[in-house]
Amino acid sequence: MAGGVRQVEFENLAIPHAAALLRFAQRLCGDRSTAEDLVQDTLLRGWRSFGQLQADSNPRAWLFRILLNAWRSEGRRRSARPVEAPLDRAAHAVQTDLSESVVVSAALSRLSEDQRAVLLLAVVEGFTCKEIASMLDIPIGTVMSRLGRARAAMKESVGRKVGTK
Amino acid sequence: MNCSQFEDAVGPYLASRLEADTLAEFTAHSASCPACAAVLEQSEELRLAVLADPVDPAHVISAVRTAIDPPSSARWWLGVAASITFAVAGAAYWTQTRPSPDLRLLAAAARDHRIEVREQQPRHWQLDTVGVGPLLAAYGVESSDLERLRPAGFHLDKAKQCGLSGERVLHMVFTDGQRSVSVYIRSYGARQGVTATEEFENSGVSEFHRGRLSGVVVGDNRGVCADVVRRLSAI
Ligand SMILES: [Zn+2]
Repeated sequence: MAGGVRQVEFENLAIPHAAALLRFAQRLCGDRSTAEDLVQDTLLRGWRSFGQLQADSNPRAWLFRILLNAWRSEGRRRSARPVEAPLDRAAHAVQTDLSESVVVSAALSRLSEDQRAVLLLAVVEGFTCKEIASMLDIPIGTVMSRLGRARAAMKESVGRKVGTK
Repeated sequence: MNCSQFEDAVGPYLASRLEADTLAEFTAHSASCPACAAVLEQSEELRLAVLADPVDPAHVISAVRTAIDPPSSARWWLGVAASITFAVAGAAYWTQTRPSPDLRLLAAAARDHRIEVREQQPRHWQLDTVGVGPLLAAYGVESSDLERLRPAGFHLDKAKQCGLSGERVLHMVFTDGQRSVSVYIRSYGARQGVTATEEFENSGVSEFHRGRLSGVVVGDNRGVCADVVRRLSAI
């Protein structure tokens, strides 16, 4: 079979991260179909450069790095729109206060794309500032200041809406 | 740990990536610094909101598979030949070619089991059938699955959603009153089969993908883990 063992190895490594990549891309791009294109592109780029992946490197960080490169290089920013919280989440919201998560999502969508990317990579995906700096090819100080500004903006807009309760 | 180091550790903490010594410093700082405790709370809120997004990568995965390995009539025949060979080789196939485990995922599961089950740090668990039912249904776990999974003398004690390596999973805890076993169910998994049992945090841990269910089993010891892994083959 054409893909063979190498394809199985790639799938075992990459597919467990597909859901996280897609979730990140949805929040980054603002709509599902752009996000799906971006993740598809990411996985295919990953497949093509799979041979260069070092055995000891972190595959999750490697895939996010590819996604961020693909996002920048193809000018997807231009078509990016403000992100609305997906509404068909009833089955997934068992433990989350829906109204609060809508407020949080709205605040997130108002951040600049750079700030949103850094905040999602840190808080949702669990990467350190050092890892994010290497993924984005920017100095760690820039990551930290973007993260600080993103947190402050989130606090400001969530605080304003939730402050009345 | 200072405030800036704390801020950098918030994401890794929420993703259960901190090592034990850093975790202790993190917890101590959070207890003594209200500003950082607020950052943690805000981050947890954001994380839960985003992890609740409905995500289904099946469409993307099948498009990628087609691009990597386009179906053709010749290959279709090879596929048939291969499946006949597999049928003859029989059930021994998966035991001979065990998938290699995702050690980071296993370590995160073992750490989560230690903190939430063995050390019983307070979490928001669903304890009754009213709360647990819809939660299990959202991950495709049926009541017949529970019967098959639970070791003799064990019952389902509690369940909740939980973050593991940045992924939202269902965390179920079975207990016989003395020992516990955590079963984490993922909404999507790739590896067919069951990995060998590894040891992390003094627990036995295996990753599995069987039929409709995939995830991780963490037993208080290897025996309990192996017992559930054996039962998984019935699903
Ligand atoms: Zn502090």
